Amino acid sequence: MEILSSKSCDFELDARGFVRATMHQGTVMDKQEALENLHVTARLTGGRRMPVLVDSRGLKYQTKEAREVFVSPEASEVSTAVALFVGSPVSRMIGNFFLRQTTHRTPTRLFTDETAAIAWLLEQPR
Amino acid sequence: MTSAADPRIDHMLEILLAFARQDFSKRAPISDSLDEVDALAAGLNMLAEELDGAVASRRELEAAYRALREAQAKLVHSGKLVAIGQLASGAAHEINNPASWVTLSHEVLSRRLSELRAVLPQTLTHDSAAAARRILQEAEAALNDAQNGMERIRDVSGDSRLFSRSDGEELEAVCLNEAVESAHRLAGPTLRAQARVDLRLETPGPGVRGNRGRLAQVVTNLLVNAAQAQRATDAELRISVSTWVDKAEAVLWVDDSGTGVPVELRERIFEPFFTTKPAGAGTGLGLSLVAEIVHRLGGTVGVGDSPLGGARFEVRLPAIQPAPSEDPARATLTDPPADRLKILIVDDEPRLLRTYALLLSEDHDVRCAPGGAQALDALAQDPRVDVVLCDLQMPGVDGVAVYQQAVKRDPSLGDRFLFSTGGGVLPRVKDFVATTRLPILEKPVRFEKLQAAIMTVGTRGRRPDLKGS
Repeated sequence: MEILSSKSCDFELDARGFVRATMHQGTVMDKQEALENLHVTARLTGGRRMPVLVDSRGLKYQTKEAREVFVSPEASEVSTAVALFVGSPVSRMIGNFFLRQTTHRTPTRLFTDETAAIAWLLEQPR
Repeated sequence: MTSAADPRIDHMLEILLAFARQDFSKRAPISDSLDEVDALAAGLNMLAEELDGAVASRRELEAAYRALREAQAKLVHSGKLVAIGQLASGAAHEINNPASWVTLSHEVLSRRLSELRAVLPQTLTHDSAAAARRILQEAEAALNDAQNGMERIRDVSGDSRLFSRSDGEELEAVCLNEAVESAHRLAGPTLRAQARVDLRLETPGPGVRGNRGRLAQVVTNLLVNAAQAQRATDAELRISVSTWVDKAEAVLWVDDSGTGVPVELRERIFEPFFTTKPAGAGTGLGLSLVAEIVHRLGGTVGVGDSPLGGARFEVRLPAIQPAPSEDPARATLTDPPADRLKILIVDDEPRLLRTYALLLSEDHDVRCAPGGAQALDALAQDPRVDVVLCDLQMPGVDGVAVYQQAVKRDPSLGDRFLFSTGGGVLPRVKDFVATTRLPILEKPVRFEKLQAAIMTVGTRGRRPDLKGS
C-alpha cells in the first residue's frame, strides 16, 4: 500500500475506496500545511475525488487560514466527503469549531469511533 | 486532572480580559498534553482569530463607508457648484447683451459730445459757449462714471462665469493674480462686512498652469475660511493676500489676524469634514477642496503662523511664464484701413445691432442681419464681406450654424468670422468656443477692442475680388 507523507500528515489509499489521512502528533496546521495536504491527497488519488477519513487525534492547533483552505472550492475538488475522527479533547474542540463555524461544500462529520466514521464515509455518494 | 493553580488558566483569564478591551491579538499556549485545558485554550484561540478577523472587516467597511460618504459629499458639493455655474452663466448672458449696447452707446455719446464741443465756439456767443462747455464737462464726467460702472459690471459678470467653467479640467496658462482678483471681487461684498482685505500681488503676476475657475475657487475658499477665523473680540479682522515667485514656484499666501490653527490640527485641517468652526459655520469641505485642487495641479498647500497673529495658508504651484491677460481677439491694429471694410453684423439683439452699425458705419460699409437665417440670406445674395461679426448664441440658426453653412457654401469665408458671445449656455456653443481657433469677443466689448479685432480679421489676406469693389 502506497503511503505519501507531508510535513504534518501521512496519506494512504484504503482498499475500501477512501483516503486515510493521519495527522502527526502535535501538528499545528497553518495555511501552508493545509495547502500541501490538499496537493498530496490529489497526488495520491491521481486527481480523482474520493472520501477522506482524517485522523486528527494528533492535532494541536489549526489556524483560521487553514480552516478557510479546507472549505475552499479547491478542497471540494479533492474530496467527496470528509469524516473527522477525533480523540483528544483538543482535536474534538477544533473539530467542533471547524464544523459549526464554517460552511462546508462537501458532507463533513465528526466521529469519536473509527468504525462508525468509515461506515458513514462509505455510505456517501461518490 | 488540572490543579486550580494551572498557569494556563491564568493565561486564558488574561486573554478574556483582553477581549473585554476589544484586544483580540493575544493567544493562549497549548501544551503537548492536549488535555481539556488545552482544548479550552484552542477554542479560545480560534474565537480570538475569528473576532480579530471580524474587527478587521468592520474597520475596512467603516473606511469604505467613510470614503463613500466623502465622495458623496464632494459630488453634492460639485453638483451645487455646477448648478451655480450654470445659473451664473445664464445670468451673465442676460447681463452682457444689454451691457454691450450700453458700453458701445457710451462710445457713440463720447464721439457726439466731442463733435459738439468742436462746433460750440462757432455757433454760440462767448457767454453761452462757456455755459455750454460747463454742461458738456458735467455730461462727460457723468458719462465716465457710467463707463466705470459698466467696467465693474463687466468684471463681475466675467468672474461669475469663471465658476461655470470650473467643472472642466482643461489646463491653461493662468496669471495667479487674476485668480486672486476675481475671487476678491466675488467674495468682496461678503468679506468687507467682516474684515479688511489687503492684496499684495507681485507684478508681473506669477504664471501657473491650471484652470482659472478652479484657481479662483482655491482663493475664494481660503478667503472665506480666513473670514470665518474672527476672534471673539471687537478687533477688526485683517486678511492679507500675497503672491510672489520663489525660484520655480508660484506662491500664494492668505494671512489673517484670527484665531490661528493649533499645531496639532494642522495636518488634519485639510481632511474632508474636519472643521474647528462652530456648527453651521463651515461644511468642513472648503479646505479639503483647496487641497484636492492644488494637489491635482502638482502643488502643495500648508498652514502655519501668520505675522498678523492668526493663520497663514500657503499654496505653492509650479511656476510658468505669466499668461497673457487678454483674450485671443486682442490685436494691436487700431487705425482704420485705407479702404473701407465690408462688414456683416449678425445679432439677435436689435439695440446692440443698431449700436454696432452706428459706430462701425463711420469707417466701414456695414450690413446688418437680426438673426442667423437672415445672415445666410445676406451672404447668399452678396458673399463679398471682409468681416462677419456674428453673435454665437441666437435663437433658431445660431452663430455656429451660420459659420458652418456659410463656409460650406463658400470656404473662403472661413477666416472672415469674428464671433461675439455673452457667455454660451448651450452645450453646442460651449463646445464650439472650447475648440475653435477663430477669434471670439466676450461681451460687453469695448469699442477699441472691437475695432482692433475687426481690423485683424478684415485685413487678414484681404480677398482680391473685394478691392475697389
